[in-house]
Amino acid sequence: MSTWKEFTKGILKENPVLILVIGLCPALAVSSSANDGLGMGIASLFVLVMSSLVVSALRKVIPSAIRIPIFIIIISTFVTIIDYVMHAFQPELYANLGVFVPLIVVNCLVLGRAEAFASKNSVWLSVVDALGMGVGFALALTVLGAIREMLGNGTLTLFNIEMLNFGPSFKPALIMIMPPGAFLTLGFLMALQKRMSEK
Amino acid sequence: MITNDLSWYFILISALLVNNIVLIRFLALCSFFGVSSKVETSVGMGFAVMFVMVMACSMSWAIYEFILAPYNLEFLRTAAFILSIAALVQLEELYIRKMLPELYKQMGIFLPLITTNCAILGAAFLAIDYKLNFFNTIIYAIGVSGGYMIAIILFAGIRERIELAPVPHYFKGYPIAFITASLMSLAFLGFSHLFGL
Amino acid sequence: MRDTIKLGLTLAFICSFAAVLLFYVVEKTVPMIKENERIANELKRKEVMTDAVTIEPNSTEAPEYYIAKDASGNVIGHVLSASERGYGGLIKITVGVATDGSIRAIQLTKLDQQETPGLGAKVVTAKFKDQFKGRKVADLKVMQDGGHIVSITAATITSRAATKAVRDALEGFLSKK
Repeated sequence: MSTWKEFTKGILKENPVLILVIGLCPALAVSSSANDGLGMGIASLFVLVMSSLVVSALRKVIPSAIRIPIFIIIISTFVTIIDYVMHAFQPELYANLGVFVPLIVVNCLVLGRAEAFASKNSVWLSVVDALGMGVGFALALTVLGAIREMLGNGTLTLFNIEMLNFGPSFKPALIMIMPPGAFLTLGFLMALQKRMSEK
Repeated sequence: MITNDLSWYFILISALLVNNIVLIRFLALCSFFGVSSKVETSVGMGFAVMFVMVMACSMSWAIYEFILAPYNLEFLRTAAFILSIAALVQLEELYIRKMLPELYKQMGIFLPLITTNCAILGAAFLAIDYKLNFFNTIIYAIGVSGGYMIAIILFAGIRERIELAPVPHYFKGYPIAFITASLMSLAFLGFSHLFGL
Repeated sequence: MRDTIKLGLTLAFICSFAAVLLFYVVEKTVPMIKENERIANELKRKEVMTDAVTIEPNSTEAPEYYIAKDASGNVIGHVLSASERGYGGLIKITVGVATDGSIRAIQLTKLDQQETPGLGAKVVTAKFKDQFKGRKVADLKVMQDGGHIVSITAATITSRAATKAVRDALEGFLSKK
């Protein structure tokens, strides 16, 4: 029961983007399409789970005086791995995400989970927590990207497959895939979330 | 796009307005929303970011140019940059606390927050991606942090007013802040294509 | 003192482990990245010269352009690489030139540009690319500047940059030949 709770808290009750309001930079910058949002979400999920795993496994040997530099080394190692692997296997996605792939290293979500959770809990619980948070983050990015892509481009693409196309008669609101649309969509999503949680 | 063949004032304008780091490039959003409830604190944060960014960009330029690039160690750049920025922030904090206690009182609390401010690392990466030379890297860092300062001070000013305004219940707090940021971003989009930048 | 040494050793151990892991990943992926790029470039050259049998660089050391030949070895055209600063970054275009100096086709993919999604990024659509077919140097300007290329809506900088890239590459090639 408690394991399940650790997992689901990241998805709704403590969703990183909508409730904790962290990891905003990638959430807004790469959500101009559902595909990019999902790709960024999966990349962050990988880094989050792997670094939580390593941090919690080493939590007893890491001296607390130098724990932050060690966390940073661990995180940046996994960030560099995903950086090169994505470049090799998904060049198009890599080009779309650009500088935001190496910047996963400063995503407060990753260091925050390492410091607040993984350094104090068992490997199993830390991985579950990281999975929940990562899935919550990826979901938020994908939903944000899906809304923006549908309204701003008239299409919906997931896993590189075009799922929906509103056709040429649909006049997309370009502003939605431009920077102001990102802030606007997230603002409305947050208000909606507040409305739902207070009902 | 910024390159070395642009003159320095175009690089400055591009970084300040056209490609505003917060409202157009989406970096440093955590502190943009987190530290902008009062104009006074946002001014302090703005100066702290400018100070660290200029130092961090010139340092990472040197690390890249003299260590990483000559020995084909580009794959270490993420780790090298973030660690050196973290160390730099620590040193600066120690130095300012000891030598300039007055300044520390105003700026000190913001310094630890800056390590995870992605604009610093982002600007360092972008300066490398644009292949800027040392002088242009410094100009770029000043422009980027100036752009951050403009955005966060304007935003804090608006948020102070919104505190007093009747906002629909579900939009109170973050939602209305995001919608405000959206309108500011829209305004900054007006700068796009300025001087063909 | 002993504590400092212990801290240093822990840090050194973790760093060296990370370095070994990274080195392995880089060794594996970098050749793949280079190979992907090579295949993509070769494909683009074929796409602008569909009827060529061989497309060879003009020199092995520093190729400036590629020479396309048909089955019987006759030169049927040349392939050039063009690039120009756009709105978001460098726009790289592969240009196929017929022997009379007119353009046969141009090609670029999503990876060759960093323009704004939904606006300038439409530079990769067939609608924009196909207008270059059969054009000569004099036509290679956007409509607003008195040429024949229709700009992408709300992306004049991108359209101008792409057109200039093709024109400059073609002009440079013709003057050398």
